Amino acid sequence: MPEITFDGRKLEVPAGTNLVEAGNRAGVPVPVFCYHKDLGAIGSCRVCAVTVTQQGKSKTVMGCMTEAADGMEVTTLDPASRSLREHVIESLMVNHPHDCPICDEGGECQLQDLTIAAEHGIRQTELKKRTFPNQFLGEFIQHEMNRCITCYRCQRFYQEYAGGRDFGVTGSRQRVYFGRFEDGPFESAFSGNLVEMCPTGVFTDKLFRYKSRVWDLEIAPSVCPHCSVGCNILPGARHRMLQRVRVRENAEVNGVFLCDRGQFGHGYVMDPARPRTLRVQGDVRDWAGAVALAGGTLLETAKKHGGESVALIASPRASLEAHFALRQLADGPLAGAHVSHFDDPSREARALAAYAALQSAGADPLEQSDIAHCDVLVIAGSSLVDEAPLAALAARQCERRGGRVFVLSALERYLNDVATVIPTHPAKLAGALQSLATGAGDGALGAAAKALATAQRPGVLAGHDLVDGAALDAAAALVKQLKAAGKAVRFGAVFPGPNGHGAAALSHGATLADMLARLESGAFQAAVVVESETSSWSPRARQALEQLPLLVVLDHLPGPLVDRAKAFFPTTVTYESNGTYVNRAGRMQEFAAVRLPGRSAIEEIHDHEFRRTYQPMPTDGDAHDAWWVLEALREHAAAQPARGLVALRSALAEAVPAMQPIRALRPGDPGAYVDRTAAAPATRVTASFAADAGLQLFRIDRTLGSETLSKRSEAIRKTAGAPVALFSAADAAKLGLDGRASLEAEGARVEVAARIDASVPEGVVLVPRDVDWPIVPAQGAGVRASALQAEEVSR
Amino acid sequence: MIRELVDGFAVTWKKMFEKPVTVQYPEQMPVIPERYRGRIILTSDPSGEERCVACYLCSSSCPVDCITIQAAEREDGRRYPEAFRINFNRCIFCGLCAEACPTLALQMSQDFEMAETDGRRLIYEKDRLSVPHGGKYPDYSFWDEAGTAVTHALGYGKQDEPPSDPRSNLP
Repeated sequence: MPEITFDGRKLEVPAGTNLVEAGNRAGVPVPVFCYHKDLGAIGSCRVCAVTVTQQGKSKTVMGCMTEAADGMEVTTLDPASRSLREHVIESLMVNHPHDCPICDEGGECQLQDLTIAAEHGIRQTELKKRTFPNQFLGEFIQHEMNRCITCYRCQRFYQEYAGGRDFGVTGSRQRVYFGRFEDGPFESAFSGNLVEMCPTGVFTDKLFRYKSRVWDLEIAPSVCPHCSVGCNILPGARHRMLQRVRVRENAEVNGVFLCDRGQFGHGYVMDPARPRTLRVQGDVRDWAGAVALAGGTLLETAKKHGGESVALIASPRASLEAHFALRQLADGPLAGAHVSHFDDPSREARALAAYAALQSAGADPLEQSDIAHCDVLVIAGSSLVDEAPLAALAARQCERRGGRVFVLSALERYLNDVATVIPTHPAKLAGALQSLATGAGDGALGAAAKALATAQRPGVLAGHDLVDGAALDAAAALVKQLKAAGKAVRFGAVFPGPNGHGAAALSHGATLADMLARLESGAFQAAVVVESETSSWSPRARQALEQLPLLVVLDHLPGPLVDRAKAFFPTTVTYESNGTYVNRAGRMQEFAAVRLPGRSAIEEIHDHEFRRTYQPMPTDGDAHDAWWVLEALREHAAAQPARGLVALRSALAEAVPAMQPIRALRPGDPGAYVDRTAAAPATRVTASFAADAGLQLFRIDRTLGSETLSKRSEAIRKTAGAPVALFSAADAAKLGLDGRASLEAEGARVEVAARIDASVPEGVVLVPRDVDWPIVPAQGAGVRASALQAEEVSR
Repeated sequence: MIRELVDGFAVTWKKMFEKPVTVQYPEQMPVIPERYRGRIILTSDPSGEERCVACYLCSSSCPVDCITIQAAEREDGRRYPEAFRINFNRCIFCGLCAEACPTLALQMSQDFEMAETDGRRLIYEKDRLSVPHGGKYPDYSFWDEAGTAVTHALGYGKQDEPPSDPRSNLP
């Protein structure tokens, strides 16, 4: 380890550390524009100049390009390097427009900060500034190319780090231009990071355009609710409006990156259609009355018809506290009530199977930073960029670090250029994974088995929509075998929703399918439905739910249940509430509220009713956290005192030993893993796709447009476009597909746009979740597909 | 003691023959210096458009938090304040806002006659703050200098070269 002196401070740094990082360790920030710890050094901006004295000779070097060597004396205070830095900044400002007052980057702009730090205030040249035309880059990002200082960070991130092909650099000398080959939205799912990567204001958040200054924003540490990765975020609100979402660094979960779904999918929070007020049938108008009525009626129902006449349903988008409060509701007088922590029976079965597989394998969790450091990574049954985008970005880094990535899936649309993609029918995935374990496969499968046999740090990541119970068991067996061979193997799975892992951990077996059957047969008298969708249920079950004598609904999304409920309690969204999510690797992460629910002052400005008096609670702001509502219901239904967040969490830690680490959690922490060794053995769930001779239908997520929350955001809807069904080339040729197809499964029929994807195996049709089916077919159902002719389309 | 009395009354005697500085306001208007920090105004640029670009620097620099702004974008791309409110109940007329204003839009005027019988009347909205002239700086227009295509085509501002062709590789 080289020992150096940095501005008079002696320190040891690991070999290979460059002088910028060494400066950070010494507590001396070296100014940078082009250097970024995740993108590396290219030495293009020249602003990190420092003076190095070695063996009595000193010279000015670029900090990011110079490795620390033993005995170096580094200083940033030397007049030579200092004046060089000042001149670099002054020359960067020669062409920079004079538009800081209208630039959204202002206040968090590295160029602005360093210009002020260098005390450059007066432009000394009379030269005119070079200008560039700007491009339309879709709904997410605003382009203002005049502000560019050619640090190449955007191009390095977009092309090298994220593997995008449609954005890059053109031009020569001082006309270097960063843009797409033509106007249009970015193809990459990670384009939002350009906002964070750009050290100045070339790429700014279009959703945040001209809304606020960054220093005026109220922020709080939060967790992204849009998939099971659980990226750390910093939502920013002002005037009681959620205005933007920025990344919060968590080295293990998301590094300093976010996907577009997480960064731009927050439109549903300020949606005017969002139900914000309490609705109770009858004349009750206030919370106390509504809670007493709903809780009392629940108690009466349980007394009259028994606890088993009550259904309690939550979905993985509810917080861990809400799930636990719901489970506790089934104690006491409501004992015997049926509880499910999922709102989709097939997702419940697969999530529980994944949880059981993770537990039986007993391997270390596979977080994103672990994915990036695997030497062989096997992704089984997942189009990762659609299900867990940041995990896909990490898988790309795995390959960039020299790891080998094998994808055994019915679809892959992001890692094709870096991974060995083995198109695998979901029903045959278990067999493929078994042959990886035995090494019996040939071709690509054989190569994957061979790579695994020689790997030191292999990782296995199972997907969600395209894996069945048998495949998860096979994956667990493979992991156990690798572990027995003495390898540092890691095993992970993708879960539905931000809290799928937590919901699975609290579940007592897959119960929803049975509950829906009971619902259809009229066995229920009352139901409490927490932040759940019923769109995957059969129409009869949905109808039965709406006609229950007592239906209590807690939600923050508009939907048919809001109006049909006997009592509707508005709940807060993630950004407005305190709670915990368990991410796909089992990491519990706490989030804190950033804003009060309700109508924003900006909406009042638009409506010319901008109030002049201060009110601590905004109008239409009577939403509460779901766990709070459930605790209030419990007070009346079970005559137990309602608990606060802290008491609820300690009760959770007591009741579920695996959740013990929740006691020490604080918002903004890196999070703590669920203690899987202390967990009760999971109930095994068998949910297998039967291989079929004909076409089989699988519903999948897509990065933008299919996820429950973000699909309600206008920017996401516009960018995602209409859903497209994916066929293999062979099936498409058989059907004579021409742009559109009609699909018929289990008596339901839809017409969708159709396309060929090279990674889809024969016999599989993949349909995005946002296609509206009259009756949602089961995963792996047989489907009759036919091509729609052009004239049929026009009709 | 006699001496002190004489000295004192001598000053009084001398002042009796000097012109008084007291102005008989309101019958008589005092002369207000040009840099007086009176009622805040939002001025207009030479073309008559509002100068304010809603950059929030005034509200950020305000030590008593009396300025409330909401920015918005006009159809031509111009950033402007959708709402601009100054609460003169709170304002201490320190002038930091005018000093912070990068577009010379917010200026201090010479007007000090703002007394109201109802405090709510002292909350000024944009319509009561805006004036149709340029105040102390009649000629400056931010958008002509900024390098953003709002008052002119892209690349034809006062400081700009015509737009360069990013697809060209010519030297």
